[in-house]
Amino acid sequence: MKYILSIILFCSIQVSAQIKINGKVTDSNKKAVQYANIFIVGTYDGGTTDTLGNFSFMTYEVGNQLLKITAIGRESKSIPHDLSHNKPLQIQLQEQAKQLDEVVIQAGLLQAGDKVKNTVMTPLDIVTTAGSMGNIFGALATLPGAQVAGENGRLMVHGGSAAETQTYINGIRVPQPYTSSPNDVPVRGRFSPFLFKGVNFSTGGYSAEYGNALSSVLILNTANQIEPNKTEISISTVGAGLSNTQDWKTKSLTFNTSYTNLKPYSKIITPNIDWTKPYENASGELIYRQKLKTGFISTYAAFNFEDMGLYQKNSNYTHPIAIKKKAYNSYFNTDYQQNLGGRWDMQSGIGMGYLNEKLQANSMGMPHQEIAIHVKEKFTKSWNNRIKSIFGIDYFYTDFTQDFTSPSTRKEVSSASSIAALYTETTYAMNNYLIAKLGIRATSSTAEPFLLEPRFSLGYLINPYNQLSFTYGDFHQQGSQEILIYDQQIKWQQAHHYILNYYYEKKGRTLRLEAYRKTYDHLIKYDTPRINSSSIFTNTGTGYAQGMDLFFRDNRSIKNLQYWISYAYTDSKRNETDAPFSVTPSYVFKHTLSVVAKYWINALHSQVSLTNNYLSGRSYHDPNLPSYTQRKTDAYNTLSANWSYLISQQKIIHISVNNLLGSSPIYGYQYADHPNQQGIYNRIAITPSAKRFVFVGFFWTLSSNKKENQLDNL
Amino acid sequence: MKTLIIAFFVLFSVTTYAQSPYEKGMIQGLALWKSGKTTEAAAQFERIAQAEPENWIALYYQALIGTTAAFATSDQEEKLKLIENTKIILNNSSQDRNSEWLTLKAMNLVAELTTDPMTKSQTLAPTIYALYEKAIQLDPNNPRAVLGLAEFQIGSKKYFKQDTSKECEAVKKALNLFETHKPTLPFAPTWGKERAEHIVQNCGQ
Repeated sequence: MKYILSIILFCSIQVSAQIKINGKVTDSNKKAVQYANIFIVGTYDGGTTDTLGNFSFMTYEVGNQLLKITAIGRESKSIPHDLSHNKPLQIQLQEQAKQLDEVVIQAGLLQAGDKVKNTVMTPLDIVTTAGSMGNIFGALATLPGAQVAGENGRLMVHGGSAAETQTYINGIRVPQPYTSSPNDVPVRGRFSPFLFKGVNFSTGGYSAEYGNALSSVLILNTANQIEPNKTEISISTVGAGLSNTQDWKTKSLTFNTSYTNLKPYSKIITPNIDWTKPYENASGELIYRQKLKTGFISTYAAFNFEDMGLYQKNSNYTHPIAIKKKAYNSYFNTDYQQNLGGRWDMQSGIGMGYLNEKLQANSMGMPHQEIAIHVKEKFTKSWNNRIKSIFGIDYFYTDFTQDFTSPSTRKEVSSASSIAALYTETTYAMNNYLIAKLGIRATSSTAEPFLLEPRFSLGYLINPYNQLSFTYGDFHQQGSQEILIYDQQIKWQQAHHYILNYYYEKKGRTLRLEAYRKTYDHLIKYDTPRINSSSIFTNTGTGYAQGMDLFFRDNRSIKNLQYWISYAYTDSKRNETDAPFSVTPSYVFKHTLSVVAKYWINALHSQVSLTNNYLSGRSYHDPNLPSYTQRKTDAYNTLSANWSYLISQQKIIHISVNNLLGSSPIYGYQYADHPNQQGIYNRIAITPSAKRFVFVGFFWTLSSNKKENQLDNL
Repeated sequence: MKTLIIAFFVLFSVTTYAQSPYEKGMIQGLALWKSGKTTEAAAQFERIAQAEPENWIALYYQALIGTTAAFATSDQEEKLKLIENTKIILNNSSQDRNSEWLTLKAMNLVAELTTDPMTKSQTLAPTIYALYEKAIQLDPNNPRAVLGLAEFQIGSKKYFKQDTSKECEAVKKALNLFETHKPTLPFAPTWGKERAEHIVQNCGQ
């Protein structure tokens, strides 16, 4: 009996013979997909497609089964299949839908980050770009659309003034991003550039998440990751620094202190500045990061003390003015990000800045104080892979006090403003080629009860390497503090941006072309040559800025060489401030050209970097001539060099020289308010504070792991 | 990296005895890989992995093929695609206490680091160290974890012409571990001895 049973069993196995499953896998363009994996779910049976997309495999399975098809870079697919139907299968496998985060509309945006795509520079570039001296704004000045005037140091974008750009850390406003400096000496960014893993620099048409900036926002992001244990020591020609990080797996705390004193340096290399107290800066930073189960907390606190004194020439006085400046600044920023589930994310943040700057000119004092607070609440919802929305609310409070003191009198003027804003923005990827973003921001303040700002952008991916995009937006900005202290009811200034952008990126080469037009309305005008308590302010000014930028970066053609070229053409005319009619503002450079090259010399363990900046002349007003803003300064060119030598993984020496060739540019002129006895208005040329600036620094990292180095730290 | 693949096979000797579908599938996958059909081999391991969701070994091989292929290719974009794909596989499975798994995770990040060391070593190196250290902590006798960490350190030390004797000692230790470390599961990874021998040979040169 057993024998018979086994025969039957044996036969039944024989009867259920293997069947063959075959077919072809193609993509949406009917092109063959090679190396796709096709298998019956839950079994070992399957096959791989050949160069023609054909596959075939044998199986003992029967009946209705689920077939799964996978391939690298494509969306997986599951299809029910009745194995008794022995017909070749035709399967289409779509390319993986781009995640919304991966597609970036390039119009009006320049990104620096450690991502592979869509970035024009890496965080490391910021510190290794010659001439930047570790200053974020110095490195950004080599990007198209950004301009930094030598006597000022502040960032200006697409023909806008320095006041038209706002700075944010993790989406929270930084009210005082620049250090203090004497008149006509460039300022620097307050924060150390190595804190940031990503920099989004807008050249216009920015997101509805941000407001109160006519031209641009600069968004600096810290990494949401716990830092490993380390200690960093630096000694340079201008000071010293010490930083330490403690890592407790889900938490880390970093403190960073630095001290700068130009005294020893100015003893060796005589500057054009007649210091009575060479610039001194003591600063401390504290960064706390904590990883939560589905969230992240990062807190940043900074304190900064600056002290300086000098004699400054002024064409209104025969003797130089004794200037003393002391500034205390503190900034606190905390940011809490939480995943709420159901594809909702929340970000809560608060930022507080306090600045107390004591300025003394001879016996006259002009101290001012600013307290600024930003509270932010933002929700992000990913509806699916193609649609994402943000909803948010902002509250800004600013209190500004300006004092004027003399030995006998004291006058105080102040302004306080509250701004509330609501915004929403939705990004929609219609398909893999077309992506649209629509946002709106509503702002309310005492001067402007209701402002509505629509923002719109559209991106079209011609192919994975080419993108065409357009952006439009309405922007408003409050008057500056020096105006608000006299007129708190002055209306906000207004700008419309239209930007067209072409972006190409393939294998280490990037080409970016951008054309734009901005129109300005309600610009603030006043009826006195300089702002004072008797000035009458109106919103009758208008203007425009238009131009085009070119950026080309190549990391590939020559081994170990990275270079980029950026050129910007700016055409702008404005009728603002005290101008009698429309003129090209004195802060606009018609042509700017930057060439940056970095070469890694393997044998020397060194990176050598050169930066050449060309800036065309700017217009200025000569009161000795009829009409207004009739003259132009000469164009100037500066070449800077940087050499970074890695002694070991932990030790680096940086040597930087700004203005290597010692060119002597004239940034502009300061004219006397009144003519002299011969009826001529005297003037003083505004020139750099030192012909060259030489920086030599030694950086040493002590950490449990040996790979960390300070190439990111200057 | 080719030597790594070869080394893996030299050491991998599985005798064919009464085979379960799993054993048969695994042997077939390994044979495909040995014959250079890496994509087919990865596909085979992917099929086994989905049929045996409780067993991490097939998935490990699918990821290992991805990482080794990433090391071998010179096309930057292809390389990143492979690394990214492997990362997804490695992150999708909760094998946080598996020394072999963490070692492979670290290796995949090393592959990523090599695409742009200047920029990426900054952020990736600490994570790579942390993964290797955790892997060694979980299984101090895992020769692949010991070897991986030492090799990673040798790479940068050689560049600065620094003394690598400490790392060479670690590789020698790994070499001994290859003799003593016996896998607990069938088909569990045993590769790496050839590579360790190769490194020891070049040590001090």
